[in-house]
Amino acid sequence: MMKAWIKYPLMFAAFVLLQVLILNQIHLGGFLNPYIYVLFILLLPISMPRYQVLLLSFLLGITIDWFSNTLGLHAASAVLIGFLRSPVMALISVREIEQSDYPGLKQTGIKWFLTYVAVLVFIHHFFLFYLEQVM
Amino acid sequence: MRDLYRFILRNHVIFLFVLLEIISLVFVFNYNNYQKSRFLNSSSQFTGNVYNRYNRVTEYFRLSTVNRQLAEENARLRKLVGIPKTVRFIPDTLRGYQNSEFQYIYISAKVVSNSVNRLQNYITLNKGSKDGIKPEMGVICADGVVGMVTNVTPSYSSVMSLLNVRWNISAKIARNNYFGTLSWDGKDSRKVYLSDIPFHVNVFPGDTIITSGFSATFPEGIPLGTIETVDKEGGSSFYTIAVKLFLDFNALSWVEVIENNRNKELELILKRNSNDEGLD
Repeated sequence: MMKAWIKYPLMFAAFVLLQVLILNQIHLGGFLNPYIYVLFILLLPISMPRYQVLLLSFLLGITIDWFSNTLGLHAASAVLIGFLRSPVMALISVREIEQSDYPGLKQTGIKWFLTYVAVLVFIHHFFLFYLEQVM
Repeated sequence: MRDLYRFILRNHVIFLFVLLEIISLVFVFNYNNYQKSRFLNSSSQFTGNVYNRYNRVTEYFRLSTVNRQLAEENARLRKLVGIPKTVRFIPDTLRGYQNSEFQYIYISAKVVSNSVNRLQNYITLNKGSKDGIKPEMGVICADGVVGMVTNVTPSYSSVMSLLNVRWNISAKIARNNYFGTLSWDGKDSRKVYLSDIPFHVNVFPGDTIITSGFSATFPEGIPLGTIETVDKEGGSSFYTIAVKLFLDFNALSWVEVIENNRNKELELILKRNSNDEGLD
C-alpha cells in the first residue's frame, strides 16, 4: 500500500495531465468532453477532514482552469462537490462509510459507489455547464 | 467575541466553502473577459511549457496532414507568384511603394494547445513577445481566420479562437461586397453565422464569405467559408446565414500571426470616427 502523502499528489498530477492533455482534446459525438478529474475529489479518504477536501478541490479546479483558460469555472464546480461529498455519502448509506477507508468499487460496493459517483458528477456537470452559459 | 470564534470554528467547513466559492465566482465573472485575462492563463511559462513538451510528442501523429496542408499552401502561393521569368515588371504608378515597408508581416507559429468544445475557446501558440507577437494581432492559417492574440509571455501567446461566443469579425460576401458580422453560436465547430445582411441583398447557398478588412486585425479577402443555408426569420429584417468554414479547427497545427504595420494609424482614424459619432 502506497503512503498517502505520495499517493495523492501523484494522483493529483496524473488526473490533471490526463484531463488537460488528453481528455480536453476528445469530443464524444462532436462536443462532449469527459471530465475525469472529478474522480480525484471523489476518491479522497472518507476520514479526511472536510476543510482539507475543500482546499484540495479548489486547488485541483484552479489548476484545470489555468490550463484551459476558464479561470474560476472548474474551481467553483469542484469546490461545490468537495463540499457536498460528505452529505451525499451520508444520504446514500452510512454502513459502507464506517466499513471502509476510502470510496471505491471494492471498498464500498458497486451499487453504493455508482450511486455516489452519479449523484456528484451530475451536480458538478449541472453547475459547470450552467456557469459556462451565464459567464 | 469568544462565542463568535466558537461559532466560526464549529462551522468552519461552511465558512471555508462559502469563501472558496466566492473567490471562484469572482474569478469567473471578472477574469474571463479577454482584456482582463492576464492572470493565470494558458500562455504562462508553466502551462505553455507543459503543452509544448506534450505537443513535441503528438505532432508526429499529425505529420501527414500537416504535410498535405503545407503542400497545398505552397501550390497556392506558387500560383500567386507564378509570373514567368521572361516578363519583367517596370513599376510605374507603384514606384512610391517600392521602398515603403510591407503593410502586413506574417510570423509563423505552432499551435501547442487548442479546444473546440467550449463556449469560449482559446489556442496557445509556441511564440510570444520575443518573436514580435503583441496582443490584438490577428492569427490566420491557409484555410482562413483562426483568431486574435489576447495575451503574450516571452515565448508563448494565447489566442482567442474564432470559435468563441464573445467575439466576432467583420466579413463580406465575395460576390457583391455586402458585409456583415460573423459570429459563432457555440455549437458546431464547422459552422458560423453571418448576420446584418438585409433582405434586399441576393444571397445564395454556395457563395463565398471573405474578411472585409474593416478592422486593423485582418487583411481584406481572406477566404472564410461558403454559405450553407439562408433563412428569413420572422420579425427581423436581416437574414440568418449559416456559413460552413473552410478551416477545420479540430486539425489546426501551424498558423501565421499577422503584424499590421499601419495598425496604429488605422486605429487612430477609427477612434476619431467613433468619437465624432459620440460613441465610446
